[in-house]
Amino acid sequence: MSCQVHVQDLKPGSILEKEVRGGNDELLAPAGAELTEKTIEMLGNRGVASVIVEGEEENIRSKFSEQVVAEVETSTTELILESSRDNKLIKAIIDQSIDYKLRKKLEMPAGSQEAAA
Amino acid sequence: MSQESPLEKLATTVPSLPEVVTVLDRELKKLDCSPQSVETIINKDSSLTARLLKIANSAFYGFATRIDTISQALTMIGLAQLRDLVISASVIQLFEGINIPNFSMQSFWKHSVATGICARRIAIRRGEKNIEPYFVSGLLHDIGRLVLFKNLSAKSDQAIKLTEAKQIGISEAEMEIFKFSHADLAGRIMKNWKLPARIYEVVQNHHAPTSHSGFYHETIYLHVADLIVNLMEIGNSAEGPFAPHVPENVVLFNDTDFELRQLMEEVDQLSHEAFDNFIS
Repeated sequence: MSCQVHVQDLKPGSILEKEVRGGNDELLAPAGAELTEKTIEMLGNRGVASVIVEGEEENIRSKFSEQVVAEVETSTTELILESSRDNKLIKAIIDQSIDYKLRKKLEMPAGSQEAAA
Repeated sequence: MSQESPLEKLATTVPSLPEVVTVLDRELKKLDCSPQSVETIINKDSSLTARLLKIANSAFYGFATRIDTISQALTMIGLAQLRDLVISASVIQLFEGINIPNFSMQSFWKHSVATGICARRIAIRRGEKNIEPYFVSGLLHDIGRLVLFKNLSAKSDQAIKLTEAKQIGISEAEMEIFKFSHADLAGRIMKNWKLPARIYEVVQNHHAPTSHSGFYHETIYLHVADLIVNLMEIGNSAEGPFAPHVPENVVLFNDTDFELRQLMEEVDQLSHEAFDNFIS
């Protein structure tokens, strides 16, 4: 099992499931490496957002009520004209945008969401 | 003499690029152009120099070493790419002081910066080497909206209403009202600036990439980046619902869900810093 973790949430001792590459496609850390505090700091400095480590993947939608998920789904889907939603890549982008917004919601303390928009 | 078209008239309301870009271009065409001569030109503009160094040291590039001078930046980034970066870092000032009722300039530039970053990151993922033009075209892809709103605000509002009423994309709505789209207008402005076709054609076609046009892949990257940033709702370019045109046979990712998630995180993380570095 593998899961994707934000660099700022990484814990020393985690094992990289996939290699990490930088903005110029240079190798920053190989697959199988055990993360140290120093490596984690380096990854942050090099602009890496998240990495894949060994562990269980969490389902972000399960952390919200059906109603909240449905609201984000509707408001996101409505940004696209109805006639153009039936496309594999577009569906995937809509889906990932919904997850992205839910993850952002989880990171932000309640009440501050308006200000950040 | 032929009469100036409304499109051309609007395009000429936008000032020309900052002088440093023109001087730099002249220098780059010289046979004896050197990193030193380029550094001298850029250093004359101290605020631009400071901005460029800040960007060179930011996560936008993610270099391991510190860059303290323009000549170091040149070594790391390359001459042609630095020239593109100079455009990105200096062009927004041309639009300063524009005040449009019910239109947030902040939000507009946020959308633009994030789209540039997203297009650039897609290009990196696809193994492209010359990536700076993607940022320039992303940053400038909607300047036509700005010029339309500023000069023809009532008709621009009408265009947005039309997208909802007729369930059509903004470009189609603009074609009905103005007989040209904001993408055509931006393309013309950038052509007047003598930017390369690789940049202005991509912007001109960013709502309707077709395989008949040149720079097809570049245009697809920008179009998809625009779509992603719209859906992530980073900033806003006041376009109404988005009408994507992504052919089914386009392959942008190997592991689509996984790469999209990473891409969105990169865009989210890089946009805030880049927004401060490029805009303020």
